[in-house]
Parts: sequence; structure tokens; C-alpha cells
Amino acid sequence: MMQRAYIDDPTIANDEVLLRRIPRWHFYFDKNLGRQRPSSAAFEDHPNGSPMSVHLANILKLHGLGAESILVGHDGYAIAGILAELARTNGQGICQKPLEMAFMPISA
Amino acid sequence: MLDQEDMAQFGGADLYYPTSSAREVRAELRLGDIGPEAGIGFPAWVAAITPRLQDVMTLRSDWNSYGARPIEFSNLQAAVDLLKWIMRPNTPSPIIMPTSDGSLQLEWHERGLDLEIRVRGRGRYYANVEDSRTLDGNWEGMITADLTQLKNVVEDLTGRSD
Repeated sequence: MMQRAYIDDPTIANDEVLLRRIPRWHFYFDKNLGRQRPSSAAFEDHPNGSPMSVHLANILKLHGLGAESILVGHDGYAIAGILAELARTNGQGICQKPLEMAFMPISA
Repeated sequence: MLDQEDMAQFGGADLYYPTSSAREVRAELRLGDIGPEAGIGFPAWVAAITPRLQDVMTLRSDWNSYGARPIEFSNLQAAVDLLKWIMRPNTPSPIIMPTSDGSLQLEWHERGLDLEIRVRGRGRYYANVEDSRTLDGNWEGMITADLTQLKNVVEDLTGRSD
């Protein structure tokens, strides 16, 4: 598959909340934390090699939608939210696509 | 309430429902010889993980809503192959996580010790170890034929389990 070039988008602020649906398969009870949490397996690139997709909470809000809107049609899923800053701190960039958002390694 | 047009702005793929019928699961995991550390008799972890493995085998394409692939049976067998050599009688059963590329991840999280093993086929294992008690215990890398380092981690987490 032809991979497009990704460039980290500076217009996406570090305090932007990035949302991702988490299927029930990826939750477990973490005895270290004493609560349910998503596995790292829930945060992976698409199997075709394209970057991991997320939704921007602020874009949803601009359209009058809440985070729960990304669960429409996805019974049994939950949502995880992280700050853009955390993604960048871990070497990821964030760029907008017309239909969704994507993480990608900054070096890509 | 959202209408079709609203959702399309955030990814038409989000509205996709898998329509393919569930695959028939007519496969058999082979346990074979058990490592000497596992003790005598049928290991408890086998019974503990079997229902989860059966569930994982029923996953269809796009099971995570982001285009995930079905889990390959060979990865389940590879996971069992590894477990039978590293598990001890009292080792807690691993958490079995399907992954988007059709492989598996085995996880343990015991009192500050996190062990994750990615299974991409027989002999293709990648481990990540994080120990909050000692930074010296952190490492990651491919698992080779020498399982000593991995067995030491499993022994450690077995000792920390309830």
C-alpha cells in the first residue's frame, strides 16, 4: 500500500483530547492499579500500515457532538481519551484527515 | 440524535458493520510436552485460558471497528507452545489480548511488574517488561531459544501473585 507523508499538525494543540473507541476485548482488571483499564493492544496502527485513527474532541464539539457520538453503532465499546501532548511526548505526531485523525511516528 | 450525514463527517468507516458470517472453529490446540517447571498433571492455566482462546477465534474482520484482522490460529498455537515452557504451577494465567494485525498479546500485571509478550507465530515472540520496583528489571526484545531471562520474569511475577 502506498503510504502518504505525514507531518505533525501544529494547529492541534497539546491540550486537545484524542478519542479512540475501545472494544470489550481490550479491557482487563489491572491489579496494579485496582481498576479496569485498556490494554496497550487497543492503541495500534491499522493492519494495513496506516497510522492509528483517533477522533478530535474539539472537532466533535464544533459540530455539536459529544464524545459518545463515536460510539453510535458500536454497542459494547468504551472510549479512551488522551491528550495530544502525551502522544507527542511518546514520539507520535498528529495530523488531520477529512474523515478522522491519525497518529504517526514523527520520523515518518 | 445523529443522522447519517453527521456521522459521515467523522468517518464513514465508523458506520460499517461486519456482515461476514462467523468462521467455523474446528481447530484443536495441541498441548504436547509440558516444561518441567509446570509441575505434574494438567496445568490450571490451560483450563483458565481456553474459553478466552475460543472466543478470540470467533472474531471477525473489523472486530475493533478500526479494520482489525481475524486472529490467526497459528498464533494461538504459538502462544500455547510458549506458555507450556515458561509457566509454573502457581503462575497466574495470562490475559489474552487479540491485536489488530491478527496476532496475540499475552499480558501479566502483578504488583508493579508488567509483562507483555507479543505472539506473531511460532518462534516469533517479543517481550516487554516493566518493573516499577526496580528500573533494572525493565527490558524489551525478541525472545530467543534461551528462555532464561523470560523464565526469571515469570518466576518473579509468580512470587508476587496472590
